[in-house]
Amino acid sequence: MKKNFRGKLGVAIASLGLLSTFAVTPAGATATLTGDLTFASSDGAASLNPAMGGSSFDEPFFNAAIPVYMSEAAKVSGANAPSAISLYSPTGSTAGKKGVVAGTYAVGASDVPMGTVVNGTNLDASILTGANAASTLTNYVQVPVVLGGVGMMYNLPSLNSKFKKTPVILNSAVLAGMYDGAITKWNNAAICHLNPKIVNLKKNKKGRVIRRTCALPSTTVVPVYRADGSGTSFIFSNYLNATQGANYKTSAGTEVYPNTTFNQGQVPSDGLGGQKNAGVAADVEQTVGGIGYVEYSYILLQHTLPAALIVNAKGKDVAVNPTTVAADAASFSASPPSESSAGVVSNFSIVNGAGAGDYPIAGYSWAIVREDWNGLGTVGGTSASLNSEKLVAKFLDWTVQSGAQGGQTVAQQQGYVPLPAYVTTLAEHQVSLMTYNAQSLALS
Amino acid sequence: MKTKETETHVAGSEVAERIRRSATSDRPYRFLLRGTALFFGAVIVLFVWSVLHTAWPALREFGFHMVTGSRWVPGTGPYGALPLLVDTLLTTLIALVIAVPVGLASALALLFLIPQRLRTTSSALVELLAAVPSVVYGLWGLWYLIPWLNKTLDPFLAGITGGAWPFNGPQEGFSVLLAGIVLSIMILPTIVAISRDVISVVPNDLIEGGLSLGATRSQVLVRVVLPSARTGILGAIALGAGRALGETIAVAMVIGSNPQLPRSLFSTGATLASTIATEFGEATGSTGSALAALALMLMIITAAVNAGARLLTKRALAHR
Repeated sequence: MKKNFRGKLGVAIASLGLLSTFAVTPAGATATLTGDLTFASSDGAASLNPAMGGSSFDEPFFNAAIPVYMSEAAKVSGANAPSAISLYSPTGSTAGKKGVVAGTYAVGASDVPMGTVVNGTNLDASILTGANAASTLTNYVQVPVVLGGVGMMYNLPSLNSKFKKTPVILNSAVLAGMYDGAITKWNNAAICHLNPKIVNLKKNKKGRVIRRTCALPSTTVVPVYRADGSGTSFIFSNYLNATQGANYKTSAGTEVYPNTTFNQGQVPSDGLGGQKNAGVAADVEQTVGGIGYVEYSYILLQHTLPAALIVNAKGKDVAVNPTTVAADAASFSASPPSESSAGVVSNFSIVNGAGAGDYPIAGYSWAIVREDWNGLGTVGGTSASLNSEKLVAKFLDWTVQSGAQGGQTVAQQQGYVPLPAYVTTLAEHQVSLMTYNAQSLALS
Repeated sequence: MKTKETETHVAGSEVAERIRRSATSDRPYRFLLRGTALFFGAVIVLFVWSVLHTAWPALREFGFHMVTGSRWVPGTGPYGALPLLVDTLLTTLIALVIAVPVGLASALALLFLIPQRLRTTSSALVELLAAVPSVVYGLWGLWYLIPWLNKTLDPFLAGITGGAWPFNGPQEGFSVLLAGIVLSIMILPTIVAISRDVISVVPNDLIEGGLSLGATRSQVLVRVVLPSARTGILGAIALGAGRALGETIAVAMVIGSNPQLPRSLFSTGATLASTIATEFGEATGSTGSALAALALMLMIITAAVNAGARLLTKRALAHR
């Protein structure tokens, strides 16, 4: 418990220091909303309970943010504030998207934005087609809610005594090799070459070093991946695709299943599949020689194993932490996630940023909502009305605000990285696109 | 024996006949009972139909390849479930190889060897194993058995066989072997409890007859008691196998979720049930249908095991 608390405090402090670094001028959309906590009795928000669910990556955030939102709103609006919103269901990214399309979730969260196209294949083609009337992306708004990094956690106990302070350095070619089955031993020449500090020195009688040998063990590499479909897998394979291109044996299709992409659907026979982030972490902990990709907070807050340093686009070895993940996101300020004239978000990939301090494996997580609730019947277990849509829009707008009472402050406390200012602007603009019967919701 | 059974049978059918011919005032009651029976029949039919309906697109598109193909790639296909089928049968086989001898020995010990005053306690302890939720077995496998396999069992097995098949290949702990071991503990209470019950009704005359002919106690147990209870024991094994085939969470936690044909007992793998559990949440498009096809295969296998057990039971009864 104590360790967790200290870890969380560390993240919060580190993240707070970053706020000032995002002085990037928003391009395109202008900030219009400020997070509205006022509810009149005519809003009827007190008893509304719109269901939310999806990505397990977002669970700590939403489940901390929902109660904070209700208590902050109660300070401003008293008894008119929403007080009945249930907690978030961590059913998975794809389940979040399906829930919004089917109307079982008012808010569905996903680490893979709706309409993502990989190698010419729209990942959501099968979700958006069928009997549902709202089969085009223009019927939805997508709000980036949190930003996080993916760490490469590994288990090499033989390095613990002598090289405890020297994390293993890996690059994308080595990672691709490990997950493709081309690199099978930890003392592979490519890994030794990246780690000149992890060496055994042989000295002569005068104490002069006469030979350096790689101190990495000959342990078998056991690549651990997500057995369930996963947004974390998506971010990781997105990174390998972006960096390895032709070398990386990818195949078109649903990249939320890693074993679709690793070596064209053949995970190395030594590979292990884990369930959710926690399962991957547990598998790595139990397997000497194991390496796995998990959301940053799983390395920092819950487990004792180290994360590898990753060589970034500038050739620097970078550790995963809020500073380096924020730096990576900031590197995309010139080509941020953007909107088409119809309000559809695209260009969301932020892997392999160009800055020297960038940690290259990172991504946003998105909240997806129907744009116009008029005539929808029931949305997320509540009847689709102007009032219920307004409540959801106000809540989402609040989640992306960074002020003292904003949702991003809650996100920092939970170990996420705050959204860059230009992404907050995009998020606010997405929320402002929401209409009821083609009329603006008139949020402030 | 024979006459007694036949008499009971005749008496039983007379009672049933009398009930059938009973007074008209019983009619509503009869309708109620028939309705309940029909209701459950209808539930089963609808259930099978809905699984078939969901699986149909995948079955139509991939056809027999789903059973013979050896590559299972969720999301895009191909959906070759051969590795899953093989791993399912293999883990169940390992579980039975361990649990059947241990289970039968425990049942005999509970009935004939353990002092009377300890019997109730030890029976209760074995049955307690059945009350442990399967996720707890999974955690136990993950936290305690994996280090044990890594440090002790796997190197030992590879050592005594010189690393020959089936004890070759890398030792990761997560393996079909571990899944089989965890399953064997899970099905043990079923096998012990049922075989204990069926052995306890073996007539004392037979046992005493055997002893009076000069047989030793172990000869009586192996040659008299077990053969005369074999019908029930087969039933116990079939029920155990049914649980092992369908077990989901505990297997998913320890088998390594890597759908591949096993190269050895140390290979990671994935079973039909564990694959459905891990992949269903995020299944879109053809994957959902392919997973329903896996469910169909699992249903067919468990139905076949049950039918096989019934057939064996019938034969065993006929030979009496």
